[in-house]
Amino acid sequence: MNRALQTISTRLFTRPVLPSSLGILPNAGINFIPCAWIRQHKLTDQQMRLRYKKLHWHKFYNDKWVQRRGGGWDEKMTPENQSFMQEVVYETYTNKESPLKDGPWKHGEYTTNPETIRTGVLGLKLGTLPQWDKKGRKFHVTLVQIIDNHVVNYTPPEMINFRTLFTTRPLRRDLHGKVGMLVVGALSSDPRKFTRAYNGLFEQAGIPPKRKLTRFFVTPNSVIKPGTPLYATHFRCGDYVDVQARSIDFGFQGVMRRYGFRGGPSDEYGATKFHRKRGTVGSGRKHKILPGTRMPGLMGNKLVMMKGLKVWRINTKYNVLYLMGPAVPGPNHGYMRIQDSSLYERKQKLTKDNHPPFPTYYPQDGKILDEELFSDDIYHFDQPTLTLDDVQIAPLTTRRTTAKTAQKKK
Amino acid sequence: MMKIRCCLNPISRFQSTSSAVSRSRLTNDEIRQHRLRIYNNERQTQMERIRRVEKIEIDVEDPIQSTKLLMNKNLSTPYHCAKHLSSVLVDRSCLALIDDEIVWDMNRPLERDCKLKFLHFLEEKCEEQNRAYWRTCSFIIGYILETAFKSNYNVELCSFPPPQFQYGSFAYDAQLNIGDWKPTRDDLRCLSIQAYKLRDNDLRFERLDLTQSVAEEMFKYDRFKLAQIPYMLRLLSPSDNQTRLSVYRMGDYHVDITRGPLISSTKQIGRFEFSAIHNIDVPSYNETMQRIQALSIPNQLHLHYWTFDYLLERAKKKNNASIPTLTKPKTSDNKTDKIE
Repeated sequence: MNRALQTISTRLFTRPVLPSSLGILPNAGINFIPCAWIRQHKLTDQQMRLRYKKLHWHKFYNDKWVQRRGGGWDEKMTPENQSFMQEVVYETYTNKESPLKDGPWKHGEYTTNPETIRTGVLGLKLGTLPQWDKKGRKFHVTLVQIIDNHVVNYTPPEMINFRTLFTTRPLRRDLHGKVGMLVVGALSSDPRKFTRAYNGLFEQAGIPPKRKLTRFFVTPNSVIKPGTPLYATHFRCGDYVDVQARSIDFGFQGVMRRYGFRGGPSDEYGATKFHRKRGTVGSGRKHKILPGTRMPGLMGNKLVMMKGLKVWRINTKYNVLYLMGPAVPGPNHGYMRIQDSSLYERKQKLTKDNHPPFPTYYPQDGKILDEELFSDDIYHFDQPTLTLDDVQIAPLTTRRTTAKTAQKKK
Repeated sequence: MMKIRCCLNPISRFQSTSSAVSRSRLTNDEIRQHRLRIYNNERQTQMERIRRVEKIEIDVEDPIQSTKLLMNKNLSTPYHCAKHLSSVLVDRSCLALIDDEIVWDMNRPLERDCKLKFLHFLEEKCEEQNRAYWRTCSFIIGYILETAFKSNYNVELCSFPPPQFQYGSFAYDAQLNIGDWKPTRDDLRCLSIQAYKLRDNDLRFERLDLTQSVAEEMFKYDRFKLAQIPYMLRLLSPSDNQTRLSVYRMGDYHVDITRGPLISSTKQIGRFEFSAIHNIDVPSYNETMQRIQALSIPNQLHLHYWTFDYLLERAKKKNNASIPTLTKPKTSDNKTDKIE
């Protein structure tokens, strides 16, 4: 449907408007595709769930924009011809100079007063591993690989119309007209798997076609020329990031799994036909079921954001970030958007002198990074082993020798 | 209007030994219609010579169906045999193989009892089919050149070189009479679209053997073809008393001289893209002509656009196949250098 028509129709019909008394959520960043609600508002859980329901369904890429997948049929070539065409595909994209006439774009300056928003990066969730801190405590990290990232396209702020891009209301209206849009792609692929229209998106930047695309809104000073690669060292060890990804799809689930209801007793207690049900559904005298009532349904497979994950470690050879926590949304081999954290506490610590590589990390000739970069707090196994002197142990309580017996009152 | 026409039409007259009829007043369309008329008349006279319908026995050997068919001599074609068997054979077969030796057109009447096999493009050994396909595509370039230009431009077709895959493209040599025209990408694309229209029309290729007098009557407005006819005449079978010229007609649209077998119908064309136009010097005719090159693959072979574009880059280079020459045939079985 025509995007303009869509926005008009949503305004005319039942779209609940945010009351102006609420103000703008302080934790909302421009790149926040709203999904997981934050407890700093006056609406109930149910009301919030109803409001943000449709926004969970945001897709990274919609085929209505440009038909993506093409090819894939058996071309019926001899094996020699097949291997030759494979070589041709590799050769066309190695050592390819940018076809653009002008030179590199000027790097902007990092400013804190008019807020600077850097690009994010598209990563691939690999799995989880345990890590230890310098006090010997174990925690889990998720490995995320920044796989073949390139900037594909830049749109300046004048060409962006927020009303067409955000069909729901944008959360940072004050940035409308002040942010440009960068398209970032991950995982270079064979052009024979896509349509001609999709391949054409990458021709101007001179990069091979990417399997995944996403967009990030950036301030004009952090603009990057299309065709530059993005690495894991775009972040520093010790930085905090926000991660957006689609959660694991559990399918149609009952109320116990989905919302953690307690259900009923087992058959041992004589319960008849009430073990995993919801129970009552009504609400007093109201002759209806309230909208937003929690019932069985599809669980998972929705956009989820996790904020404030610490980058503990970076592997520069394979471009892997080690992010805090095992619960990063999505299954293994799922794609995720990774950005600088929009949490107030974490943003306060960034100044003009202390900020991540701006606009992004550019490898310099002659300067080779170590393969593994560690944050200050992490313990890596090249270091001498931790001893008990380093670690403080709480004093032991006295051991009980006699049995606990009731004392007779005297 | 006539004045403007003369200004736009600077023809360099080729003073040949044979009497070339002046064509300054005839358009390409009219010349084409003349050829088709002569073809129709000749075909009708040849059909009338068949007094009695005789039967021949044909042994069809095919992995799908193997049968013996009773067909009409000098009337039934391998295409009719395929129609008796299955639509798969009708759609995909481009050539027929008689007695495991002779390559035969699908639309050419069968003359005697034989063993028949159908050839298509997805076999292991398909060199004959590929060559027939590129030969057909060169033939089609000739038709497009005659019909694609505006009526005030006169295109004179010369001939086309035999299909050779190492040159990366097939070509047609013609005198375009346009002067310094460098076709843009969009111009070439417009030419290619004409070929796709032919594919939709599903035109069959029919063969006719002409005597020298009929051939000269047919091509009396084409000076290059007239000059070639004496060199192209051959004895087609040992029992023949006269040398003949083989001529093919595409549907109801176009007639041209060519020796070798062509494919069954234009429906079997897949991608067809004109790649480039280069100038060539032809000393035999004392002229500078244009070589129009193109690239095509059959419908059965479904290539991704990226692979085809890679082959098209190669097809844009100048095709170094043999230039049209007027030489007497050397070998005993009358193989000429120019046209196949």
